[in-house]
Amino acid sequence: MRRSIHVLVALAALGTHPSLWARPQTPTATPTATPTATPTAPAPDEAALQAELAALDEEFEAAQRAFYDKLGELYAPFENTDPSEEESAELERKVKELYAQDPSKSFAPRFAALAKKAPATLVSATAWLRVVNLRIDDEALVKDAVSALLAGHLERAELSELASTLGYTQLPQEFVRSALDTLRAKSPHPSVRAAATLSLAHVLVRSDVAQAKELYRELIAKFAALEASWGGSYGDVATRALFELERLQIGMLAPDFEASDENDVKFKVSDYRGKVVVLDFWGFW
Amino acid sequence: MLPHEKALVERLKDKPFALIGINSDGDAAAVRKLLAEQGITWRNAVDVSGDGPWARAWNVSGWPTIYVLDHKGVIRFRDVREGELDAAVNELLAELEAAK
Repeated sequence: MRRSIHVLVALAALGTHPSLWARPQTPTATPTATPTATPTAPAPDEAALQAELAALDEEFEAAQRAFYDKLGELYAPFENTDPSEEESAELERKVKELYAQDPSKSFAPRFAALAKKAPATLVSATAWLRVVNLRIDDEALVKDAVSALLAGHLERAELSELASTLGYTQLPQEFVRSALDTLRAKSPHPSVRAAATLSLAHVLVRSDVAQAKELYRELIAKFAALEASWGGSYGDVATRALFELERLQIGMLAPDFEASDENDVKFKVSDYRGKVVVLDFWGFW
Repeated sequence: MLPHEKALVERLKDKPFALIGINSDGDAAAVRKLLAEQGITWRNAVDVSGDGPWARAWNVSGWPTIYVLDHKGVIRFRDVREGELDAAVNELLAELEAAK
């Protein structure tokens, strides 16, 4: 079975989002560790808060590792064989049961409580970002986190993480749009404004193609050379997204492409005029 | 998908139809080996990786991604699977037949 289908089937079965499979950032990767972020020695209570955040991160990571180990055990028997219908139903039931104990659900309120302890600090911003990234189904909690970040931490470069995440949340579009517009208009950091622009384009691409195109063009005009956190430049990703919108839609003449086949023979899409053609991008990797 | 695609190719072997894979599993030798192992008879573009030139140019970010083109080279369907794919191809073949 193809890997992609395998993963998609698993995710569909879980009714969840790929983000939940990602490990959280390690505590050492948080900006709290960089000396420039805290030019003066933090007040004792802030140091205590930092320690509290680090401890909570560690506890959460351990819980999440255990959770994924259990999930892996459930799927292990079907690594090389597809489950029967009966096994499939049983697997689905067990996975659902396990997901009821998903640590992101119990930990998000704890990160939120920590964030509320010292609203203006970097610890608070980091803890709110954790809440958003856990992307739990608790809409009210995630909205609280986004609102707190926009109200109290708009000047922080760390909000590029928020800008990226908002492109893929389940939150109502109006809320997401307004948050991204705020980041685009008011963040002092190009990295935040670019990430927010890309996210907004992703959010709008299904409902308002014209505006999505405008946003991709804006990325190319203003942030072409800026590297995104996941590698690659905003100019590149926007150019490719625009190409898809402008050249690869139903009803359009397929752009020609020259490729080399398994016998090193070159061919073009246009060689196949006169035939009905299925192009299948696939792989096992 | 694979068993279904094999059936499709077999069923339409005498029709003006082509299935072309754009494979992301490595170089030409790797693809030849894979095709032999899987009993795949149709042509495959060697796109080397998920970040290969064709996948990049066409902004492919999910696999499989499927485009169905009519005999004029116009994109008519995207991301249809199995039964839907059969129906799409049948419709376009009928259109081609009617255009003759």
